[in-house]
Amino acid sequence: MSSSALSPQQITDLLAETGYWRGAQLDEVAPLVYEELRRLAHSYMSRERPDHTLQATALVNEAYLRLAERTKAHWQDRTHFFAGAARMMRHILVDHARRRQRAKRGSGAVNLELIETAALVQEQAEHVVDLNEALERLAQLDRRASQVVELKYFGGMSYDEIAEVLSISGITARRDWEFAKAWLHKELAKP
Amino acid sequence: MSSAQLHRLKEIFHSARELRPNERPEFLNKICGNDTELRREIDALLKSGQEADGFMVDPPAQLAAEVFGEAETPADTGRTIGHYKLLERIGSGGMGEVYLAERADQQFKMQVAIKLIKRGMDTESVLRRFQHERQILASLEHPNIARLLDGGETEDGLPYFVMEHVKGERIDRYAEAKSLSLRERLELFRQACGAVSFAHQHLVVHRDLKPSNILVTPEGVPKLLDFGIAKIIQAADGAGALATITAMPALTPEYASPEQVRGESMTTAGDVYSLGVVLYELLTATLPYRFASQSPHDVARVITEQEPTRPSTAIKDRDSRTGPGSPRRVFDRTGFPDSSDSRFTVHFSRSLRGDLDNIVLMALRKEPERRYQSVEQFSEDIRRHLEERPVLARKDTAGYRAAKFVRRNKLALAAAALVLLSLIGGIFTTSWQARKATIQEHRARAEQARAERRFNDVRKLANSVLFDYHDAIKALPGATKVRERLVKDALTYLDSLASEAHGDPALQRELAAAYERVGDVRGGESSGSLGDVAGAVESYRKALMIREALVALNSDDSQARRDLADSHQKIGYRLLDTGEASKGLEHLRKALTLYLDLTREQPANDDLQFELAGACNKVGKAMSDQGDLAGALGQHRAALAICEKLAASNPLDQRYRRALWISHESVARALWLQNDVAGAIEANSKALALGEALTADDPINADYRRALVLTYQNGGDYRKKNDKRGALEYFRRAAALDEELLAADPANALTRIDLGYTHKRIADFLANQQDSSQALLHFSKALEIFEKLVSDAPADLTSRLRVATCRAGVAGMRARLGEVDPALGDCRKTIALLREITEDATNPHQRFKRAEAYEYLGYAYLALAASPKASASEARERMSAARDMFRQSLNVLEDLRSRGTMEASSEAWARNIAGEIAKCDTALAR
Repeated sequence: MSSSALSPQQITDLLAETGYWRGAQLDEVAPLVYEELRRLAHSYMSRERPDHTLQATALVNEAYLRLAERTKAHWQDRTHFFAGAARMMRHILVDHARRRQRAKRGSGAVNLELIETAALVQEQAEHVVDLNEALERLAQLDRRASQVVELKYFGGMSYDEIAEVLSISGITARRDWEFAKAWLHKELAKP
Repeated sequence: MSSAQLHRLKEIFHSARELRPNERPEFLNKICGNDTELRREIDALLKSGQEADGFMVDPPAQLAAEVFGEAETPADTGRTIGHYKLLERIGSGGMGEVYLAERADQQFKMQVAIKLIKRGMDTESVLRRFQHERQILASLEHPNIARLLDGGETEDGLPYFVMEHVKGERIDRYAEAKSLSLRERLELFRQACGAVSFAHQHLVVHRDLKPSNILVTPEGVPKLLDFGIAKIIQAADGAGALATITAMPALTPEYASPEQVRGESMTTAGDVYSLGVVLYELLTATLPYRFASQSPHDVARVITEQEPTRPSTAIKDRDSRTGPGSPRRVFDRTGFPDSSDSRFTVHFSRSLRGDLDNIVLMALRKEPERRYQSVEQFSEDIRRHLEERPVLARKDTAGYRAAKFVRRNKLALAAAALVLLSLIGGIFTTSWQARKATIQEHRARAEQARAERRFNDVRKLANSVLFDYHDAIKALPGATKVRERLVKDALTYLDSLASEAHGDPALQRELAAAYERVGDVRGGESSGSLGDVAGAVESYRKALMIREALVALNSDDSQARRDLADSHQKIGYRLLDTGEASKGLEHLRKALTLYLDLTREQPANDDLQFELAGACNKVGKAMSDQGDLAGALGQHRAALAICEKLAASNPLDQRYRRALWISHESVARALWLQNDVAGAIEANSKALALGEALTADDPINADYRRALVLTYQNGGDYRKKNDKRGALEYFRRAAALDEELLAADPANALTRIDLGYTHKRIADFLANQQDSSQALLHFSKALEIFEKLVSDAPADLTSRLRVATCRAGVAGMRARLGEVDPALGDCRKTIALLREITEDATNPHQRFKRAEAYEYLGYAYLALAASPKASASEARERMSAARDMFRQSLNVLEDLRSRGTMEASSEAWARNIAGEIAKCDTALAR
């Protein structure tokens, strides 16, 4: 798969759609942010860390630190940056998970050495695709709750930060999260 | 389900969850009524909520790792673009990729580099930027810049361009592989500067200068590459839109200028800075900064805030860090001589010290406007250095600026004070921000960042505020006041950090250095101290304790041992003037032992030899103070022998010349104290010749002037006995020099002490010549000076004894001049003062002053007794008082003699006083 899992235009559209980011030059910024996320992930992987874990949220934090100065014309503050990055993260992961599933259906081959990791990744990929679909259904019914999920799960944001982005109280953010979690869990448990 | 239904569900859900589980059924029965559908939904939701504890807690980490960490785009190897066939990918940046390619349609095979846009990265702005780079390259034809050969569009309509393929090595690795000498490195670097300068003349700023963008061909020609983020300085010929792309990433933050990492627009000054980093690395094989982590945030902060280590220090530090057993990664990579032979490091370090340090640091200044005006100017300064001509670069950054203020006028001192306070203010702000940041960041990471920040703050305080300011200003008259406030603020800050520094040796080292610096400023031995001896000792002790712990931690660390020796000396030397002189000598001996060990281990290290000589001289002075005259002379002669060697092999080094001068004078004094007047005068003449030459070479150096004053004073002392006219001449020269110094810096304690002494010596001399009114004038001047000193530093016993002596002198002269009542008043005041003071009985330095004060009082009462206005009973009373005073004086001397700490030259003095007592007895017996 190439690094253009999402085209720059798609990324730009995503960011524009959220309203978290602004400005006419999003097309300049979007590939930067995407490339930054990718680069960071790559460097994390090549550092051969014993646990090999990679937190998507940690990535977003790093990306923020790197890009904060250079892209600040395009978002209001730190939390809005995260919000945009969370949206991007969600779509990048979902997009990848979908492609992965298609590829798997095609080949069916699994590298035995990687079987454990592969199983975990496969599980996560399925989960992300299902979650995304459920989240889209939730958005139809309660857009705000779906946004809270996106910001918290994909962006690793705190209730207070979410509250700031969505102009709600921290308590509301927490209640939305709890409700959405129960709702999504129920949806995913459906046969 | 509709949105409204969901919201009703949500409300019930929250309400139910606020209830205890046993209260829920009743609530739900009531609220759902007969709506079984709703009831089923809410029950399922509540159940789901209870089961969802582990749900959506962890992000899909493995999936993210896969999507982001996967392999790079498969290379387009083998593809043909235009007339070129791609051979292999040799580079990949954010937007573009570079391939090695060859012309497919020609007989001779020319290899080129082709730059393409990465697939999927072809947004409008990237395309614009790409075209822009091509346009820049086209305008730059220079032997040291990789040439643009061709360009076009691929079949998919994406632009590409063809460049000269430079087969070469990074400039730093090239210098390493060829083991280039310092001169060769500088000359190579200047060629690279030529290319950058050429680009600047064509209004192009490179913005990404670093060793990997400066390749050197096998023929030794450096070539500048990668104008990928270069910028045209002025928006011309339709490039206006490009000016908005200042938000482009700095790809290599280690070489980015402070303004670049702050995201400000870049000018040619940024290229000057980056070249400065490249030169730094070429010369020292290290980067100018210590980065806490590779995290961009840390890197950026370090670049904007941390003061770079001087190259000459960096190379030494690196040597001491790479002890046996630890990998000498950097050193071995660079082709510098093996660091296990410290002579080479010392040699290289010495070559960097001075001009090259200043040149590199000037290029690295934080403020763009204070760097070299252009790359050309930078390069020219290196040329001047190579030709051994004076360079433009001046030492110090902030300090230099302050120095200029001070020179301009005295009012500007206030401005310098403001600069200092704002620096301190900046330090407090960062540490406050650091604290604030901990709340937001992940704890472990924040802790590390905080530690690093603390390190930097202390480093900045010690390096920039204290070292640079102090060093720059201390040789200049007029700066003392500025530092009083600085000391107070600095101590508050350091004390708060010291308690948190455990387990962090690097921070502890910096803390110790900072405490020592504060000690220097408070009351160090060098000129320009504030004269607060007790305060200085307190600060030095803090440094000593930290350093003892560091040496205990790693006894092989020679730098740590030197630092420890330094602390012992500073404390020891200061204690000599307090009531704890013998403790002082102990400290000095500890330092001497440390240096003897170190020089034994590294006999060829001139720096260590120099320190050893200093240690000998200090021990010598202390021994002399405590009466061991022969021992003292031995130490001074040992120091002299070392300094003669050092000065002979380094004839231009001012430090060694100064040390030689001081050693001669120390020998002179030691000889004089042993009654070898001729020997003393001979050594003093040698010292004077050296001192005058050195002061002539560096006339604004206050330290040299002060030492010269002392040398003159001593010259006067040695001549007092046999050459009275000559002695007065020496004293007057000393006084004239002192007056000059003091006029320039009225708060300087040491200059004040010197001047006070000089006046006293002149007064003594004139009193002997029976010139009472002139002598009174000089005693009064001396008294005024010492009284001011005592009011500034009440703990300074020596100065209080000096006040007593001078007031007794004033009393005596007034008595001679017939001013009976004032004279009596002065006598009473002096006696009261002497009763107040309890000096260290073993400190002959202070004890002699007491003896002298009583002696002067004795003469004052004698003169009063002889007053024609005195009645018989008054005369008798005063004669009796005179006898008492002489007796007190003799008591002190006899006590010293019994302790074996009396100078030989003082025996005559004691006999003289005994004679005066006898005369008084005779008179009283009448």
